[in-house]
This record gives sequence, structure tokens and C-alpha cells, in this order.
Amino acid sequence: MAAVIEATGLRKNFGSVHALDGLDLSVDAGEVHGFLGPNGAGKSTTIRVLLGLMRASGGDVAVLGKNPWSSAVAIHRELAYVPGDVSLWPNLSGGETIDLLTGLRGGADRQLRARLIDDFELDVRKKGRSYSKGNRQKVALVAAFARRASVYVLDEPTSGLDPVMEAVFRAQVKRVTAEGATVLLSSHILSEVEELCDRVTIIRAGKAVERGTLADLRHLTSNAVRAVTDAPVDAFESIPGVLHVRRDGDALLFDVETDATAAALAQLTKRPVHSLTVTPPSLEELFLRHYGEEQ
Amino acid sequence: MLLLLLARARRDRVIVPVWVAATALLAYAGAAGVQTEFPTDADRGAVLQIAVVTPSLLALRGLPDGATLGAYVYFQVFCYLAIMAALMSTFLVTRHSRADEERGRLELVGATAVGRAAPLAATLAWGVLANAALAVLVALGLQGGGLPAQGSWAAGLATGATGLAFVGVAAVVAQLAPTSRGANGTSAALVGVAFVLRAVGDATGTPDPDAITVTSAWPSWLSPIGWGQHVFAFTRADLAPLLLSVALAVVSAAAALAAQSRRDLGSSVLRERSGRAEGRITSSIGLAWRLQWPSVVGWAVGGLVLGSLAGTLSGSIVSAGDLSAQLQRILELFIPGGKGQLTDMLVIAVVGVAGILAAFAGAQAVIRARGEEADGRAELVLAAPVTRAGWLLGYVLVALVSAAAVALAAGLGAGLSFVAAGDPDRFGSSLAAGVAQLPAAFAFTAVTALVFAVLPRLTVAAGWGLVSLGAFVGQFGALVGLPDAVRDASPFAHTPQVPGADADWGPALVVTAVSVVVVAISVLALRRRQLTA
Repeated sequence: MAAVIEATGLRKNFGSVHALDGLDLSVDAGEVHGFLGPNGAGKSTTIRVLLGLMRASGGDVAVLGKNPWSSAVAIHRELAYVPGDVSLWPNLSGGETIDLLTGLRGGADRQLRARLIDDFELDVRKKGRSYSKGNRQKVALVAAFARRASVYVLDEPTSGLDPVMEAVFRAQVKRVTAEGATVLLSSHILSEVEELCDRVTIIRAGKAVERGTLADLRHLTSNAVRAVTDAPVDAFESIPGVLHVRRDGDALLFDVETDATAAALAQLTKRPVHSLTVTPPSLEELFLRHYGEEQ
Repeated sequence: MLLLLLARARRDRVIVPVWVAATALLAYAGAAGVQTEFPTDADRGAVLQIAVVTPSLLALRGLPDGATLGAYVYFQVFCYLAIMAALMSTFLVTRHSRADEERGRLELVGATAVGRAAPLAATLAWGVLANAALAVLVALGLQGGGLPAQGSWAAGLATGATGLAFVGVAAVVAQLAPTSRGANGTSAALVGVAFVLRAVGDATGTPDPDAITVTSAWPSWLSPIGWGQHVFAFTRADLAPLLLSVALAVVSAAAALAAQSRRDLGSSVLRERSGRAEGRITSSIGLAWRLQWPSVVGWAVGGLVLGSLAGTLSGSIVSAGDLSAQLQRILELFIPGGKGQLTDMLVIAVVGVAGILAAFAGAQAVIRARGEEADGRAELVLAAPVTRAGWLLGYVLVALVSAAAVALAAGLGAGLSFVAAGDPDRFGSSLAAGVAQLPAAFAFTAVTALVFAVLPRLTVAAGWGLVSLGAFVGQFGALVGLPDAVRDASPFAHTPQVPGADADWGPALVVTAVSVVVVAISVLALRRRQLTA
């Protein structure tokens, strides 16, 4: 499948600070791509480079096959964007802001606009300065979704939204992907990523440290095993890929890397096993591992 | 409370010293300038003889009280020192009251162990300190300019007390207005009202030509600036009127503190109206105009009022009769190289001041683009199919329309005032005087755009600063004896002297052409620059 967003070796320096340090990112047509990383990892900088609002210091970047710095306008015709920290015009109402932002892209789909305002329960008559953070976010979301685009770039779009509104947001992402659009979703909300994203890229300190489907990422990590058995601890400690072996009453607990699963199970079956649970790592654990990793 | 006060001082560590220094410099330049231009009592007396019977001069300057050096300087500059102090105070108070509340900073502070009114009390205390510093530096400035010590300190106190009064006024306004923008606008307008009230009172006062004094009419006593004038620092040095300023400050500060400790966070007496559900703005330039037009209306009304002075004041010039040779000399000081018929020169002077307003309006429209960028809203617009070039050109175009509206409103005001005064032949030339202001205003718009494109973080300072500097050089350059080369660097120096027989449009066309080139360079520079917060 053709890549809608393709960045290789992307670098961006602010003085001596390397905000992006050889980032690779590839988003295929029609997918929802999760873009994750700790605060300050360079997510928003990447997005601004992809939008042509900042110029890359090095590396290659293409959005819809075009250079975002030199062809910004052509790309923006096909693109909708929700910034992470939405700042609105203090003296324009929410409705005026929505119509301005969709108008710049060619005009809103009126039916869609009305439905979105209804779904997001947005009071469009309020002035920009009197909206709360969540409501500013809703204005930006309605403006992004009220006109169909082929690429949606969403930078932490649900920060400040309540769970009901988050569900509305997820429904919209599913709608636009069903219509064939591509979505780049930067998010910290892991359940959202798990529900929506086909693939994810995790970045740290301006570099992609992991990419792939969530199943792929899980595969790279270890499962937690809990077995009620009287097998001795040291019988497992010697197996390569088995970690943190310990005993908790009747139960023997250890973590096992994917490649060592067979060996660990073989060792287990040498003694009677009364109960066995194998738990894949939660997303939280997965991300904590990447986010917290030493450089 | 002390911590809050220190936090305010730290936030204002640049802006307040700049205000204070600029005001002190104005005091110094005024004193020194008068000394070189009108060295003797006889020189000053001759000018004042006309001034006392010319309401327009009284309105624009103040109350004469004899021809001594100190009295003349006080007549000439006190109102402007007072305006500086008042504006410094209003912006200071709004910045640390309604603006903090609007941005949520007050919420952050209010959640800590401080009383509900403590942040406002700290703001008021900071306002008092700033005005005390201003009073001292103005006194030193006047003294440095060669004026007697006692009078200088009385003048400093009068300036500081006027500032203090507006600390209180702005604190009350910040309680009433729902937004910091509204609070700043209202308070600044009240400063304008204070100036106009005393202008009316002074202009309609009773002159005493023998003593060269004017006793103001009652409207002057409604204005804190008027109270400061009545100190007559260098003659009577009567500090009693300042009690009125201090009383106003105390009463209004108490009212503001009472309101602050009783009302809810974020509430205000005046409510914000709800907006329209659907927008009609669908272009970047439409947005630029939407953001700018309310200011344009304000600037244009100012231009119209200013322009209308021309016709209403021309009558008094004619009646001044043989004193007009002296008046001509005064006007020549204000109009670079200006010579000619008196009424012509009056139009040039009055509409020329509107030209400064037009330049401010133009610079402001470009400064707005910087505000959009700094606050992250430009990102929303530029993430849509809008080119950087088109985006900036939109703001430049709106700037030109703003400047033209202000300048033409002044020309129109002048023209209409002549029609009303029974001199309709002057209508056309007055309008032309408005048009003549456009090249200089365009030049300041272009330079502000260039700074924005190359050094975005300096846009606001450069925009306001350059126009102020240009205005100072244009208006006071001759008075303080700046060399011609310096005065010619200001675009205002090349404004055609319309109406008049020897109006020269050549330099203005050159200024316009250079401005077009500067705008083109700005657009090219912006295309190469990334967004900078």
C-alpha cells in the first residue's frame, strides 16, 4: 500500500537542541496510525513539520507524495488538523470559528456540521475566550470533521474531553476511516490507541524506537506466567529468557519472553500444574517500558 | 502579599522602567527644548500672548500661568506627562488584574493561601510604587533640563498623582469589564475623556492677557489631568488639587477591593453577549479584517474629531489679528519646514497628528498577525490551504485600509468643520491633506511587516516603538533641535504639506515605492520562515 505520510531520517534542530533526531515514520493509506511517546519526545514538532509549519533540518519527508514545506497549500486542501493545544479567537463564537476553519478548506458539509455540533453537545454561540479546554477541543474537532478530508492529523485530540465525548470522537475516526481516509493520531490514551489504531510508532527523544501493529509490539515483549505448582524456583531461573522468577504461596510467578515460551512450558509440565494463567503485557506496561527506558 | 508584589515587579521589570524612562525623557526634552527655542521671558511671553486667546492651543497644551521658564514648560508638557502616567497605570493594573483572571492565573494564585483580594491589593501597591518612581524620575528629568528644584518636584508629584488616580480608575474598570481587552480599552478611553474634559475647560476658560494667564472653566475640574495642571508647579506650587487625585485613587481602589472580595472568580458586571451560531468569515483576509475593524472605528473617530479641530480653531486665529506672526512661528516649529498661510498650516498640523494615528492603526494591523502567530491561532489558519504570502498580505492590506480610514476621516472632519465655519472652499484641500498622510502610514506598515517576517519576536516592540519614535522626531524634532538628517529619516518628514502652494508629492511617492518593495521583501522572507511561538 502507498504511504500517505513518509518520513525518513527526519531531523529538526532548535539551536543546539535536537528535537527530532533521525525520525522514521510511515503511515499507509487508509490506516489509523498511532503516534506515541512521552512528553517532549518530538510528537508535536513532527506534526508541525508534516504540516509545513516548520521546516525540517534534515531527512526526507513527504505527505501525499509532496514536500510539506514547498507544497503546503496543495497538501492542506486534502488535510484536516486538530492541534494539541487549541487556541481560539477570543472574540469569535465557536460557530464562527468552525465556519472560518472549514471555509478556508472550501466550506463545511452543512449536515455533517449540524450533526457533529449535536453529537459533541457544543454551544456554538459562546465566544472563544469563554470556552473551557474541553470545549475548545470540541470546536477544533468539529471544524476538522465537518469537511471531509483524505488525511486527518490529530495531535492529542481528546485531551480534556470527557469519556462520553471521547466515544463520539472514536465514532468519528471510525467513520472517516470507513470512508477511506488516513489518520495520524498522536495520543496518550492507550485504550483509545488500542481501539482505533492499526499500527503504532513510538518515539523517544526524537527517534522512532518501535513501530508495528500492537500484536507485533506485544510479541517483542514478555508474558507474565502464574502457575500453581510445587516446581522449584531454580529449575526456571536457568532457562534463558525467563525472568523475575519468584514464589507467592502456592503459586510460582515469572515473566517469559516470547521465544522462551516453549522451553518454559516444557519445564512446567514436568510437575503437576493445578492452574496456569499467561497474561500478555498490558499496553501500559508496553509503553512504560519504552517511555522509561534509559537512552 | 509581598511575594505577589515581587512577582508583579518581576513580570514588569522591562515594561515599567521603559514607561518611566520615556516619561522622564519627555520631561527632560521638554524643559531643555523650551530653553533653547525660547530663552527669554520676552520670547515666551510673545508666544503666550497668542496662546491665551487661541482656544485650540489651550486645548492641545494646557493653562498658561506667566512667562517664566518653568511655567512655560509646565503649560507645554504637563498634559502629556500626565497622559503617559495615566496610560502606564491603566495598562499595569489591567495586566495584573482582569488579564490574570481571564487567563486563569488568578485561579492558580487564588487556590493558594492568600486572601481573595490580596492579588488586587498587590497590584494596587505595585501601581503606587511605579507612580512613585515615575514622580521621582520626572522631577529629576525636569531638574536636569534646567528647571528649579522645588517646582520640578511639585511637577513630579502632580504627574505621579495623576497616574495614581488612574490606578484606581483602572482597578474599578477591571472589576466591571468581562475581558482584559475591554478593560484596557475602557480605561484608555477614560484617559482620553480626562484629556478632552480639561481641553474643553481650558479652551473655554477666561483669559487674562496682561498677566498671561487663563482661568479654566469648570470642565477642567472634572479631570484628574486638570487637577494636576492646577498645581502650577513652577509658580503657585499649590499641591491641594492633588488631594482630589489621591482621594479618587483611594475611593476607587477601596471599591475595587470590595468588589473583588465579594464577587465570584471570572464574573463581571458587564456581560459578554453571545455570538452568532454561524460564521460568515471564510477567508484569511476576512479574519484579519474582522479582528481589526473595531479598532479602526475607534482610530477613525479619533481622526474625525481631531480633524474637526481645524475648522473650529481657524476662527480664533483670524481674530488673533496682528499677533499671527508669532503664531506662525509656533506652527513652524511643529511643521517641519512649513511656511505659508496660517490656516493652511493649522490644517497641516492637525491632520498631521491624525497621520500619526493612521500610522499606529497600520502598524497595529500587522502586529495582530504576530499575535495570531504567538498565540497559536495562525497555525490553525496555515494548516488550511492558505499560503504564508497570502496570509501576510491580508494583514498588510487591512493595515492600509485602516490607515486610510483614519487619515481620510481626519481630512473629512477638517473639511466638514470648514464647511460648518462657512469656508466650504477648504473642503477639497482638507480631504487632500488626509490623503497626504497615507505614504508615511504605509511606510510604517511595511517596516512593521518586515520586522515581523524577519524578527517576529520584536514585532510588537518595533511596531509601536518605530511609530512613536517617528512621531516624536516629526513633532518635536525641531523643538529639541535634532539635525535635519535625523528628522529626514522619519517617513513623516516626507508627508506633503497639503494644503499649500508648495506641496511636494515627489518624496511621498518615493516613500510609497520603497514601502511596496519592503512589503515584497517581507512576503519573501516570511515564505522562508517557520512559525515561531
